[in-house]
Amino acid sequence: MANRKYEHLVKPLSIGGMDTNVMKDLKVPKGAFANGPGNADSIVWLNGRDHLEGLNLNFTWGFYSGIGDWHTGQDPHTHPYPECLVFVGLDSANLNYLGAEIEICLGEEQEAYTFDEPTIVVVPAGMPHCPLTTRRVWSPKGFGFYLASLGNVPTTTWMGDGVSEEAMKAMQEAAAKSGRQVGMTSYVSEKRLKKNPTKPTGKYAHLIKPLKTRMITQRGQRVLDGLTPEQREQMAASAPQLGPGNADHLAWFYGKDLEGLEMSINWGFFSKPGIWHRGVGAHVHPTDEVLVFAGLDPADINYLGAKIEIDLGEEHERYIFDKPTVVVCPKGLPHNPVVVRWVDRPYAFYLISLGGEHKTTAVD
Amino acid sequence: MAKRKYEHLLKTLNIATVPQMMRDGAGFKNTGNADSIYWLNGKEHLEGLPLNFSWGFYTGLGDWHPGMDPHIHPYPEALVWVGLDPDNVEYLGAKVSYCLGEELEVHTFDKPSVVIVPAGLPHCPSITQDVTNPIGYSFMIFSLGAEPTTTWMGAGVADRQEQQMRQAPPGGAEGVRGPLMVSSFSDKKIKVSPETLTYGHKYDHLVKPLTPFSTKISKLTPEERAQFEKMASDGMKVGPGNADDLIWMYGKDLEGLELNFTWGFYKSPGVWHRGPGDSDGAHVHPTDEVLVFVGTDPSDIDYLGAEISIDMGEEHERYVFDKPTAVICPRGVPHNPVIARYVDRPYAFFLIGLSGEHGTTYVD
Repeated sequence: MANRKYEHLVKPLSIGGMDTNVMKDLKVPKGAFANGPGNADSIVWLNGRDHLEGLNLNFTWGFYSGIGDWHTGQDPHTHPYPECLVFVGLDSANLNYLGAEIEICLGEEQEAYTFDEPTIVVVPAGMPHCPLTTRRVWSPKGFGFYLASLGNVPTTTWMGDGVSEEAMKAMQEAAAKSGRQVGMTSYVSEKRLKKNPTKPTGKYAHLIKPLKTRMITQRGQRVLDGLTPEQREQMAASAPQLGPGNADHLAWFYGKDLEGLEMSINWGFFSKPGIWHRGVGAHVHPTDEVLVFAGLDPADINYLGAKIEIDLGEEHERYIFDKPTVVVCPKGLPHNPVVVRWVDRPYAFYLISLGGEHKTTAVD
Repeated sequence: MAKRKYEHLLKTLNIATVPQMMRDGAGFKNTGNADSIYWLNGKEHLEGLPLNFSWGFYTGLGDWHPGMDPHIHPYPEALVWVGLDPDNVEYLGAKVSYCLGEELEVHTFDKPSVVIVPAGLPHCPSITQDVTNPIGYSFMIFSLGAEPTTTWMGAGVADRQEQQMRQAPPGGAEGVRGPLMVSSFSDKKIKVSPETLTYGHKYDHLVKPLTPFSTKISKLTPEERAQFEKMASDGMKVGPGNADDLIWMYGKDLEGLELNFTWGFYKSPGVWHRGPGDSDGAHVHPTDEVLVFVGTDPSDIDYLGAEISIDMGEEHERYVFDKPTAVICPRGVPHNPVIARYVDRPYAFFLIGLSGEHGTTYVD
């Protein structure tokens, strides 16, 4: 193989993995990776500083099956950056199936909003949010969750009355024992709030976005009803014709759909070999983005179930992977086509673009 | 794009037109001969390989070369009749009578078949008796000579026709190459008539039905199973883009010719071979071979109906095409993986290996 100019842009998700064996040594409820029974069974968490070439982003991917609070005693909390919390199902035949019931508190009022279908929760910078509670899980596979936060270092100020500096220190030491850099910068707020979910008034309802409201592909066919003319034009430019390897089901949210965030995100299920886009080779965007390829087997977060190639750069350097992987696409860097060589098990893909629009220019 | 080291090894089939004798009124209109055909030869198109081959679509009834046959070549060849039903590789959709030897021994078949013609053996007339598939059938010549060379022995060649065929073809016109056939005329003439045809069995061994080499291991012969298991032990598996049913005939099946060939229909996107290793089947052979990708739409011989990528060389230089194409693989040059990026219409593929066996060594 020739010199690999862009290999620093292609990363296995496992580089952001949490060592759950180490985490188990913590005195925490069974099944929790950190400090809540509802939290992840397995999770990866990548951040701009350590993993994403300095991008102003950190994101996760994890599998969840436990019932209960995600951060017992620690919430509410705030971040200095906005973020999207994306709750998704693991039924690749039905993007609108979550298989769980989730309650999330928003605002200092802790208005408790509940949903049982795939949903994005938009959290503005500085807004107290959580407790986050998994109330019920119906799916035998549990569900998936990713967060997309517009900060290159995960930074949290905990406001719960059950949190302590000692607990924070214990978590950081546990992470250090696993040989990993501490990903989260944690602070404890002087102002403490007791867990006290309140009945929702609707004040924050606009922050709750069901995925079904922005479906653009269903059963392999495009559904563009929800897009503006400009977005349709962009979509046509990036993918004049869907290839056989493209999504079975895909939802796409732009900044306008996310309370004006400088972010576009999508979520989709993919099950077939072949090229993703026909009629276009590589394209560029005026903003940075990451492409995340994740598996759907809750028993093995390091299993993708497919083999995929993607070209990067004007040279069309090809990268091939069969493990869960993130591809960092800095602004202006040509990327694509994506070609799926084989699929053993449906996989998921999500894109996080650091711009509210997703302008695309074909380069060849 | 980087410099294309191997681009001379990929040839669209339309670089070769039909032999001059088949055009301009000197050819075979209103006969059983081809409606459309490409004929590539080693001298002009195949980097000097001792091979010429054709691919064509056929619907007509009757003699293919009225008055001109039998004929001989200084090289052996295999003549292959195949159907165009991608769901049934054992369906020809036509009935053909073929004469072998000076005895004009008639052999008739209505299944996909190969006729082996040793060097110097008089053969033909070839007469299409019936065509039952409404879109006709296809036919390929695999001749082990770099230049198509024929000595016509028929007693019915008109002086004007002979004179025209002896003339140097015009050439030079756009899209027209030539000469593609070196014709001579035997002093010994053989008359073909109902009285001179024979119906013996001297040449039965030269006419063989095409037997599918199923990708289902339960249907393999012990020898094929051993070969398949050897490949599997190397980590190779059949990919989603591979053939549903494949015919593969070796020298031992072809009266000891230094030739092996495949024939199959391909319907699905994806890689053809999975593994061994990350390269998905990059390999070399100790002998030369040509990989030929053709369409199955008789109304347009230039339509492939798919987009294919193939890697060439140790560098894995990738070539992508969506027209009927021949890929020359000189001995020792690594090639593969083959990936079907999309398939709009089932396409066909045949391999021509210039040895009786098909030794394969995976390279990375």
